[in-house]
Amino acid sequence: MAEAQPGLRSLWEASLLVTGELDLSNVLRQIAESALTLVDAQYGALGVIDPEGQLEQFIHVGMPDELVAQIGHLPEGHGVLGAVIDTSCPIRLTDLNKDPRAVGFPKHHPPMDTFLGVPIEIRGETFGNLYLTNRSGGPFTQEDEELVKELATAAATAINNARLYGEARRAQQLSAALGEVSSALLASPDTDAFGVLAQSVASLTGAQLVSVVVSEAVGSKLHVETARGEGASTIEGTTMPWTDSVVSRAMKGQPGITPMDGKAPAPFIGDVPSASIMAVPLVISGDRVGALCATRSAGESLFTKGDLELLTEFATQAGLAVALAWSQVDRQRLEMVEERARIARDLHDNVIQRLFGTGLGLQALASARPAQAASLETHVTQIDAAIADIRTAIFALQTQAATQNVRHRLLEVVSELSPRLSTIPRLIFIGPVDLILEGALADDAVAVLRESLTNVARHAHAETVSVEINAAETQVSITVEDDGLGLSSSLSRRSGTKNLSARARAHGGDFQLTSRSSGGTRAHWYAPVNAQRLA
Amino acid sequence: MTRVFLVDDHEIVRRGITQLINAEPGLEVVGESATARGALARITATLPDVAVLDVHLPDGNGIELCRQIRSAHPEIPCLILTAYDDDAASIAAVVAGASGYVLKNVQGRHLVESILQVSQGKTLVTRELSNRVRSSLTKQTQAASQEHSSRDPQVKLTLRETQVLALITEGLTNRQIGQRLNLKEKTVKNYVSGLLAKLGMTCRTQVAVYGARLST
Repeated sequence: MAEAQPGLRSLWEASLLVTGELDLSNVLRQIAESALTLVDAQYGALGVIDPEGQLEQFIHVGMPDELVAQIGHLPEGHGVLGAVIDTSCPIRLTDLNKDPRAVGFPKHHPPMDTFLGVPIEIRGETFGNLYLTNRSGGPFTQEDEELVKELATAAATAINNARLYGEARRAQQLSAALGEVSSALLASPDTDAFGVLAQSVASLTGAQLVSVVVSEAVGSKLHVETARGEGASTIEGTTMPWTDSVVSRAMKGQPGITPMDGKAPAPFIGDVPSASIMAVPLVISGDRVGALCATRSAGESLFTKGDLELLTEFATQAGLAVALAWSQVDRQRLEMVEERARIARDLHDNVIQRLFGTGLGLQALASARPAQAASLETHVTQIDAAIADIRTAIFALQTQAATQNVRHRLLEVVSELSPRLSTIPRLIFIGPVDLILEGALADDAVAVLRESLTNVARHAHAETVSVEINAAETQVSITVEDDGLGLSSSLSRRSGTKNLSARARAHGGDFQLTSRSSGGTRAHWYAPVNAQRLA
Repeated sequence: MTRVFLVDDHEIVRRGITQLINAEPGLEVVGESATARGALARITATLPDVAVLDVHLPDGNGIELCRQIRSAHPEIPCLILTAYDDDAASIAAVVAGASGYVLKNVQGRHLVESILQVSQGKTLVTRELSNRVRSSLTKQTQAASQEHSSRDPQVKLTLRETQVLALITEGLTNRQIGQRLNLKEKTVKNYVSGLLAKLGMTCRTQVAVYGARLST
C-alpha cells in the first residue's frame, strides 16, 4: 500500500514535521519546505495575509539568498498571488506567464512556469496561501493539488496551535513582568517608577532602548524623563521639540510603530541607531502622563503588531500598578503631615500653655519671696527659652512649606548645615519675620545665615551655636553666636566675612564680628527695613 | 484703676495672669471666661477697660469674638494673647481688629505694659504692620486660588470680601464697615466669617485665623 501511495506517505511525514513545531515562524517555514518536498517543486512560499487582505509576511524556500537580495523586495500580492488571496480557491497553472492575471516578474527574478496556489484556512478564515512553482517533470497534477490541500489542513492545525502557544507564552511573560513591576513598586515608596517600567519593557519586548517621554501639554516640548538600555545616558533628560512622530502620537493617545520603510522622522535627539520604534500612551489614574517607547537597534528584527499589543497591554496594567504605588506614597505623606500637625497642636494646646502658666506662677512666687527671687528667675529664663524653642518647633512641624516663606527657608538652611556642626543650632525668631522680610532682603537673610553658619562650621570648632533672627518694622538683624575658638586664633575667619559686610552695606546696614566675653564669637548682621509700598 | 477682662481656655494660664495683673498696682481682673460663648455678654455686663483674649478658643473663633466685642463696644480695646509666633499673632491682631498682641512669654513686663498702653487708647498695631498683613493675605489667597483652582474654586475672594478685608486692615469695626459699604452689621459679620474661612484654607494663615478649627 505504501508502494502504491507514495504521495500519502510523504504527506503523513510532512504533517508530522509540521505539527511537531510550536514556534510560529518555524512552523511556517516547515510548512513551506514540506510542501516543496511533497510535490517536488523548485520554489515554494507561504504568504500570510492580514485582516485587510494584504500580504503581511512572505516566507520563501528554494531561492538562494543572493538572488533574494538582488530582487530587492518581496512580492506585494499582485497578479496571480493576489488572485489566490482574492478567490480563496486553489489555482493550478501550466504556465504562470501566460495567465491573463500575470503582472510579470521584477528584474533578477528566476524564470517560473508551472504554478500551484492553495489557501490555508483556519476555522473558515483564510490565514494565508501556499505557493509552489516549477514542478520537476511536468505541470502540477490533480493529485498534487489534493496532497497540498491536505497538507494545508494539517498546517492550519499547526499554525493554530503555535498561535495559542504563543499567546499563552506572551500572557505568561506579561504577567511575570507585571508581577515584578508591582512588587518592585510596592516594596519601597522611593522606587523610581518609570525606571522600573523601562527596565521591564526592555526585557519583555526585546528592546535595546526603552524610554518614558513626558510633556506638559500636547504640542509642548517633549522631555525624556527616563531612559534605560543602550545609549540611555545620551537621551535621558534631553528635551526635543514636538514634532509629529510615533512618540508624539502616543502622547495623544494613539499607540503605533514607526513605519517599516525607515523614512519616519527620528523622534530622539542625536543618532540613537534604531531600526524600529514603538510607543504607547502611559495612563496613570486617568491622566495620560506620557509615552512609553521601545526601540530596537539597527540589525535587530522589526517590531511586529504583536509586540505593540504586548506593550499596550503592559502599559495599561503597569499604569495601575504605578497608580497604586503613588497613592500609597501619598497616603503615607498625608499620614505624616497629619501626625505632625497633631504633634504641633499638642505642643501648642498643652505644653506651651502649661509652661507659660507654671512660669507665671514661679514669677509670682519670686515676688512673694525676694530671698529666692534670683534662683527662681533662672528657672523662669529657662522656661521662656523652652517656650521659644517649642514655638520654632511648632512652626517647623507645619510642613505645608511655601517656598516663598522666608522662615521655612531659614529653617532649611539650619537643618542643611547642622550635620557640619557639633550640635544642631538653636534658632529663635523674634518679630513677624515673614511679614517683614521680603524680596531681596529675604534672599540676603537666607544667604547671610548660610555664610555665617558655614564660617562657624569651618573655623570655630564650636560646641554650641545659636541663631537669632530679629525682625522689627524698622530693622532686621541676624545674630549667630558660637562658643568656639574665637577670633584671635584664626585670621581666615575674618577674611571669610567680606561678603557678609557687602550684603549688609548694600541695604545700608552693617556687619560686625566680635569676640564674646565668655569665649567664642558673635556675628551680628543688620539692615534697615524700608516701609512697604502700598500695593 | 484699669479693669481687665480675660478670655483663655487654660485655667493655669488664667490663674497665672490674674495673679500677675492683680499684683500690679492700678490693674485688676474684673472677669474671666474659658470660652467664646458667653464672653460677649459678660463683657457687656462688666464693661472692662481692656479685654485680653487668646484667639485660639476651643468652642469657636477668637477672632470673630474680638470683632464682635469691638463692634458692640468700640471703647473697649482688645489685646490678643497667643502661644503662636509673631507672624501668626500679627495677622490675628490685624484681622481681629485688636489694638495689639502679646506672645505667651513669662519674663519681662510686656503684658502689663501693653495692657496699660492699650487702655490709654494707644494702638500697638502700626499702619505699616497692617499694610504688610493685608498684602500678605491678598498674596496668599491669590496663590491659593491659583494652586487649588481645579479642586477648590471657592478659595478666591469675592469683590465684597476683598473690600471687607481692606477695611478690616484699616482697623474698622464690623459696624463701621457696614456704614461704609451700606450694609447691615449682620451682613458684614457673614462676610467676615466667609473671609476667615477662606483665609483659613490658605495654609500659612490657617494657624492665625482658623487655628481653632484644626482641633475640631
